[in-house]
Amino acid sequence: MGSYLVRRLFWTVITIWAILTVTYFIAYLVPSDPARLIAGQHASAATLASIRRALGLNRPLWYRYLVFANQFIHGNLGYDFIMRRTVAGQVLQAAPLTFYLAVVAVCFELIIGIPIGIIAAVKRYSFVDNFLRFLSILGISMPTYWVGSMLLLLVAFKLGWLPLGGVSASGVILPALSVGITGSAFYARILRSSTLETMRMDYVRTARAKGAKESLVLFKHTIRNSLIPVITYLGLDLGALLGGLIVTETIFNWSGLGFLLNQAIGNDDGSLIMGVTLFSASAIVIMNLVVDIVYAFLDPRVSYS
Amino acid sequence: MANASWKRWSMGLAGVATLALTASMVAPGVSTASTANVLHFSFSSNIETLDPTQWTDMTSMYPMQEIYDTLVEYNNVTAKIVPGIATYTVSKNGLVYTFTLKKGIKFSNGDPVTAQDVVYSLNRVTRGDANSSGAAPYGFAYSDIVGYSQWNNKGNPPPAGMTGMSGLKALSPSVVQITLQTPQAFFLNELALMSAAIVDPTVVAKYGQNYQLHAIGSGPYKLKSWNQGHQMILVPNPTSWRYTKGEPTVVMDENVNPDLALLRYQQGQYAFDFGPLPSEVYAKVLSSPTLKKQYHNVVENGVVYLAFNTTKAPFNNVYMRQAVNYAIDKNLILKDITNGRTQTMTQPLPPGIPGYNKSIKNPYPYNPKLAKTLLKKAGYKGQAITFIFPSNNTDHIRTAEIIQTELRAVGMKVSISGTSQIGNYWPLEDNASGNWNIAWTDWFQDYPDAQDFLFNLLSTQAFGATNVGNWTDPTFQRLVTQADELPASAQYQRNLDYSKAESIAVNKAAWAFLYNEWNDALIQPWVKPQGTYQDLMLYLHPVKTPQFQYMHVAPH
Repeated sequence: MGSYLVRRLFWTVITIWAILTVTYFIAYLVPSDPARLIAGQHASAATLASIRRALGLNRPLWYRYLVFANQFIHGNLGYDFIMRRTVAGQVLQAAPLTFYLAVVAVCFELIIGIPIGIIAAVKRYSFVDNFLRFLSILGISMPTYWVGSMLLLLVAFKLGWLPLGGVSASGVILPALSVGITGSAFYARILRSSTLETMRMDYVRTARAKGAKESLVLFKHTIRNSLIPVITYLGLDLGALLGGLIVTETIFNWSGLGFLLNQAIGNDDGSLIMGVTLFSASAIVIMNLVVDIVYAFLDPRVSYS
Repeated sequence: MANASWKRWSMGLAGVATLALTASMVAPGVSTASTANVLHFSFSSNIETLDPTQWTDMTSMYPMQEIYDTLVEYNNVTAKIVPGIATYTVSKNGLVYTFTLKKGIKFSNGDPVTAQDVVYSLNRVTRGDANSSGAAPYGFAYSDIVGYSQWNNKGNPPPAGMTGMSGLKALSPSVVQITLQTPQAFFLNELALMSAAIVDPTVVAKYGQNYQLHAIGSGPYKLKSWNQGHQMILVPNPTSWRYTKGEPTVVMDENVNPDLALLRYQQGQYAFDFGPLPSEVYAKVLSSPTLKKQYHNVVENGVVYLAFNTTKAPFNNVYMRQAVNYAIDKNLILKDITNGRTQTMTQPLPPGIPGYNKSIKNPYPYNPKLAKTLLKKAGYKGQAITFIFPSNNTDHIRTAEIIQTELRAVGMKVSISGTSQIGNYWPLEDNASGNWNIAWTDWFQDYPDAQDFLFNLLSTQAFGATNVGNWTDPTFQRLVTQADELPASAQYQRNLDYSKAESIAVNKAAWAFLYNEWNDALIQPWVKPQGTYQDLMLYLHPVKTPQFQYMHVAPH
């Protein structure tokens, strides 16, 4: 276990370092000049030179990369180029909003996806099953930005039931629902197939043979076991949502990490792009590590030799 | 047993649902003001700053023009320079400006505005270490004041013992004198920029790096709250010398995407949808009779053009540059991309700027045949040409693709490369990334004077910065320098010189001339001008941002 931990930690560090390096060079490969971003289009050559000197932009790229890496190790992500605010501060302000949206979105996915999956499995090959399967294909195929725009237009604009975007108490419902609708289809399909698989297991047949009621067979013996792949997927899903709500957050003006990243990319703001990417990536990598370690404690069958 | 399972299941689901709902109730919120006398609207970007030493952008001008006063300002209707918080006289030789502050002007915290504050404000913005990233972006606007170069110290902290520019003096608590090295007809325009806003030294000293979150001035509004990146609220400043009862509160949302902004406008939440409106929004305006009635526009004093890298082949050759001009069908861009909301550009100056040469009419009509001939004449042998453009806007992407296709059609091997924003490119000599041949560029006036265009965009002094392609011509340079250094009293001669310079830039194809853009906006019918002001200029001024204090919200 000890050596496993050391190995995993080592690879975690390597992964984060690789992300840092790749992002850094991509962010600075574009032909845009940070000094101009700060000084604006109308600045004189002398002003640009002064800003480059103050920010060390006149140094070679590799040197700036080392400076950045050193700062990162010390938890300092620097300042963004437009507002001159600390990147770490902005990321920490945006992260809870994204986390909150992701959690609500996952709840919606489960609320919609689980019943559909179960009903489809129980009523397999019936009209209901076919209809629900059609719905879930529809759900998977609909892009989030389309569902989001439609919800915004119908529920918020035409009906006026919920706010038109922005961060507010009830403002989370529509963005979360638009992720929920498209994401629930995955859960429904996973649950349907794993339920069907479980239903063929010997212990299910035994339960039926001893005369247990159908509902008991379904809920106690079948679904409980079919949920395992759902839970595995849930972990992955939450991780992906933390780093990948760019479109939803932008449509709904939900000022989380994705919204921040979209802005940073729009502005060529290398230092903010780096900050958000590194934060999201590190969060996912570290979460994976934690999950793996927790597995080891919870499930004696998992071996780390 | 079975019932128990069902129960457990339904309870589980109910639990998740409750979690989702409760979670949605405890979210942190941004308030949306909705009281009667409120002008609420949004920007698609950040309000970058309220600090004159950091100011560069149009968006920040909206709140800054409300919070601060300047010595001189633009008239709401004529757009000509008039006294702001000071009256002024100019010496005969155009070198010495004397400003007398009006009586009783106060900052919103009650401190009186003194001549010392004016001196402090201008010395602050011209320091080499004006802010944490070095010199202030607009500090150079005051580089003709005597003593600027010693004080600015090439963008370094000022030399020990120096307290300010020698040409900037407070003669008494209410009189400021500014001495220039050379006459400048446009100097007063520069004093009307937000970089010359008058700040309160005690407030700057108190808050240091965080000054802008507590910014105060003597303007008609004061900052009530600013959740940076989200929302700023301004309230009327009752200590302002132009305060009148009943001024509306101003609520500005930041970073709202244009689609959402239009929906909020249509729902009546927003008083305005300020442009330039993206063409997808404009298309919706055209298809709605209601929106059409609320749509207003002006031609901006701005230019959109392609700069050529003239420091190397092939665009150091005038025939190559002319060929590009002939190869681009500007009417197609006008019709297909901008929906008729632009006008074809004929010369470096936009039509609203004195010195605009009316005799130049469509110098480069679409003529691909001629373009091919010129390419031959230039000896172009199919070298690769890199065209960089701002890909932050679908209109730009489509236009760049049309231009690429048209240039390829006449035989130029053009590849396009997107960067996020206009004018963000590394200047030519600075970096390997400056390795381009054609760059999409634009410029919107700092002030309505030809110098702001011709000197900044095409003079040798602007190499490596605003003269993006390092284009130069000796006669052009001489004419522009001559006109720049004439006093305002010699405006007629200035216009003649600039007009001549214009012809040279056009004949030598300094740029590929694309178009002059419009600025437009949707304005709710219930937003009305107050009192004697009945002019649309309050909303869409060629030089100023909207004057909220002169508006009010009618019952609706």
